[in-house]
Amino acid sequence: MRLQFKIYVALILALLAGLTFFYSKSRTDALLSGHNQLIHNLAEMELLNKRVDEEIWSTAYRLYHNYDEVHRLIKEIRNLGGEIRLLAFLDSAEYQAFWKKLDKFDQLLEQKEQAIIRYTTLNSLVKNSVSHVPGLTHRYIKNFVNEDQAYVEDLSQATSLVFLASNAMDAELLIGFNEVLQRLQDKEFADPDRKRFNRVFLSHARIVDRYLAQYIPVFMGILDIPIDKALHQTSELFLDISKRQAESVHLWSLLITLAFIGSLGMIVIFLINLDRRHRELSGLHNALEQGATIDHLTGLKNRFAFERSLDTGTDQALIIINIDGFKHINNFYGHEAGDSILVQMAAVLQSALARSEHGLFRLGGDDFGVLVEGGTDDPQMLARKLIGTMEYTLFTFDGNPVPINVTAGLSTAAPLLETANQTLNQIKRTRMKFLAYDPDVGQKARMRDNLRIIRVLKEAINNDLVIPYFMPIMNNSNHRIERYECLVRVVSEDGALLLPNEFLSVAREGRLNADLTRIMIEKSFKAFTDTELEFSVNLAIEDILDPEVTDFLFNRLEQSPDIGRRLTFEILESEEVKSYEAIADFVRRSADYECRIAIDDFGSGYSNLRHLLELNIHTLKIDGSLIRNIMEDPHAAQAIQAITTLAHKIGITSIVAEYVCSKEIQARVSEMGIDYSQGFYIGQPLPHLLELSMLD
Amino acid sequence: MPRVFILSLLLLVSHLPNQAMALQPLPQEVDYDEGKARLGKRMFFDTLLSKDRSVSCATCHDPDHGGAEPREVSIGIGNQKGTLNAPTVYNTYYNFRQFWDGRALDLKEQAAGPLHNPIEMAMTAEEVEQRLNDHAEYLLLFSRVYHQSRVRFEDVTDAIAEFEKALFTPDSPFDRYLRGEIELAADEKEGYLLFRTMGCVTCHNGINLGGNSYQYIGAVNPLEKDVVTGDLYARTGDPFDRNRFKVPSLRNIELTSPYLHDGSKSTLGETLAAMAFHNLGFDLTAEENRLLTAFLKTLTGKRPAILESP
Repeated sequence: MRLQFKIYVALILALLAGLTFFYSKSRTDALLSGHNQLIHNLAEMELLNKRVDEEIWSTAYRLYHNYDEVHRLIKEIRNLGGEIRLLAFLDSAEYQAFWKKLDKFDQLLEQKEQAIIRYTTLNSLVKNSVSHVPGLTHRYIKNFVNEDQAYVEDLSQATSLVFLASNAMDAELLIGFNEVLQRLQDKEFADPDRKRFNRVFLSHARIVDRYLAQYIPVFMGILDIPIDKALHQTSELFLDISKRQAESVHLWSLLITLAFIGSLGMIVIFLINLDRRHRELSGLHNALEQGATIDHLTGLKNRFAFERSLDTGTDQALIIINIDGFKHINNFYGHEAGDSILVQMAAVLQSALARSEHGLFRLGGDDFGVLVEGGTDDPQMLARKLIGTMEYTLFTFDGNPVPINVTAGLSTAAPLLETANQTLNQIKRTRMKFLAYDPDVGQKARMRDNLRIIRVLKEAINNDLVIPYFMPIMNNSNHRIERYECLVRVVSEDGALLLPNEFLSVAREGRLNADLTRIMIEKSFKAFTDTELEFSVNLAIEDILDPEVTDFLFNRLEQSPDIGRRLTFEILESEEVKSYEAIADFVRRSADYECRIAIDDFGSGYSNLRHLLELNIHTLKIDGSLIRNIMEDPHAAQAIQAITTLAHKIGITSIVAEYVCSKEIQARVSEMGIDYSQGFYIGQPLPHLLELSMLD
Repeated sequence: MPRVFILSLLLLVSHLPNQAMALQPLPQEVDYDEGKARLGKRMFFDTLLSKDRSVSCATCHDPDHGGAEPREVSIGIGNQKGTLNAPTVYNTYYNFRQFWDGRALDLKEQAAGPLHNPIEMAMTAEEVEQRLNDHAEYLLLFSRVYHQSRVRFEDVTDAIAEFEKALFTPDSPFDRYLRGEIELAADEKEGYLLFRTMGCVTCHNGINLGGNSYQYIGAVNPLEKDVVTGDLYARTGDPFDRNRFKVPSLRNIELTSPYLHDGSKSTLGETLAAMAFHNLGFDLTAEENRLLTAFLKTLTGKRPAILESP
């Protein structure tokens, strides 16, 4: 929004600048042309006025002249003035003074014209008479006999005075003219011709007498009218005003230029800003990309970069190198140490791969991946080489050596990451250092299977398809089936029965074992409520440590307290017994309900003598693997014997032999003094209890 | 007496170079707007523009009478007798003012005068407009020429003025003589000389031989009584202006009797004698009169061409 706004502002400014420019240009043009015309006209008018004066002089000088021209000139001056008045730019207030001057000029012109018109009248009048006085004088001398000298003298004097005064344009020079006229007037004539002549002469002389004195000032007056000055002043004033006007135009120009510069400046600022932002963004983008693709701790490319480096078209192989027990290292040495180890490992791998084209990634946690580009190196050899390098590298933290073991999984089959990981998982279960992906192992299928099983389990839990099966346990002393082991079975969607080995580990992974255990407890209790039989339920250490399970269990026991003394918990030993506290708590509480504890699969796996002591074991179940080999393997028999003796010695009164699958084994077991027997020979697990309590 | 001429001639020798400038020939062609002039011509002859439709411009400015008033004084609508003899409309474009008292600056201004004058055509501007607007043909013609939706009074006078501009009478013998095309007859020449030496030219000069100044009638020998009306004094009230009139043009003078402002002189000879006496102070001899008349007759030009065209 801000950007849009800024763009609009810049555009509007530019538009304004453009418009102002064109407006001012057109104004300037009009102004200039108007100015030019005005100055031109004023100059013309000055010129024409001078010509008017010339005409006046011409007329004054000559006896007769053409009056047309002077009138034409005045008309033209007026026209030019009229043109000026029409100029539009003069309408503005600044030209007030100018208009005044122009009006003054018009007045003066009018004055001059009127004076000229008056002058033409006087001029014709006087000129005629001035020319006739001498003419008539001559005529008299010529035509009349000269009797009266005085009269002729008067005529002559009149002539010379008229000549003098008119040429000098000075009426004062008519000295004695009045006296002459008087004498002429007083003259008496007998001769009618002379009389008439005198009359004519007198009339002309009188004209001169009367009008010359008027004529001269009128003539001079015309020339005195300060039209020249008025025009000049008008012109000057106009130029003055125009200069000021020009300044205002300059101001406009300046404004335009400023607006333009401002506009440019804004744009430049925008651009600079834009560039800066762009760079920021670029930097951010890079950083993000860096962050997105680089692992900050080790500086290696990360999982995201790995995904992008995958190219299904080419022959790529992935080696995943994993640190054994990294979680333990973190816990034991601290996370700082763990980070340091990762960094060191990254460095080692980087230098090992320095001269190759292969990509090195930190795929997460303590997993390093080497994406082997096809062609050059044999991935297997490379993997082994890397592992070897690791083994020879001394990893330290804070000056102390930290022993590191790595394992590697290799895969060339897509999807590389999954298959390599599977391989790694496989190898983790073994002591091998390196394993190549064996597609035959069907890991993928297995994984799919696991998911399926989880689904099945969930369905079974929700739809009451978890079924306890009961396996009879025979008392070897009286050959009676006195107790049963409850074994969990799950009905899958297609009706197939799933055995624990198929789903227990998965259940554990999927955290469904608690639900299974609870269902087992519930159903087992139900099955054995109305009997006197003893029964045992399998509990994993996790179950014992899980309050959900234990709370449920003890609640149930609380509800049917009598059942407690017939109940035995078969516990499978595992490495996960970190502290006996929780176990002990369970043991105590179950003791409250007179429940008993049995160790399952004793003699294999994590068989622990301390358990026997601490947990108040009541029953010991000897692992099937031992019992199975009892016939062939004398050591097995001896071991069993030893266990039996030991158990009896420490007060465990019931020992169960599992996996009794044949008559011979049963005989042997019985022979050895094992208290109870369980196995297919004794009885298969069934969803119901046996009718018979005896077995033959 | 002839010697007087020669002497006068000698006296005035110094003025010889001026004669070409003092009097000038009419142009042989004049630029005017034909459309306007044609329209003006139509109206000039149209009695529609007078109150009782009895009078047109041509009634008093008769093209068959040198464009002037053949009667002693002009007569307007309802046979109302005026006080002045209408001057010629020919070449009047070149006069510095219009009317005997010069109250109109130009032809356009002049045209309104008779139109409005109650004793001439007695029309108000609105009445003129109405008469013409009601006339379909005038309406059309005016719209073509002036591009207005209706006839306006200002356009009426404008058209009439334009027509009058075209009423010039070129190629008079004297004009042709001035242009060096022909020679004048001996007495015409002598008359021309007399015209200058006697001082007629002092007032009757220019392209129109007059029409460019106000002068007194009875300048040297006053009239028996002052002029009653029509002079400048009647307009201005300034004593200086008594008996002062615009000098009329002498062109086509042989066609434009009667003469003077009141049409009181019916012949050229009479007028010459009166003018010479009152304004120049001389008793004109018969010979002088004859010679001057011969000269004045050379001032008759061709009938205006626009009158011949449709």
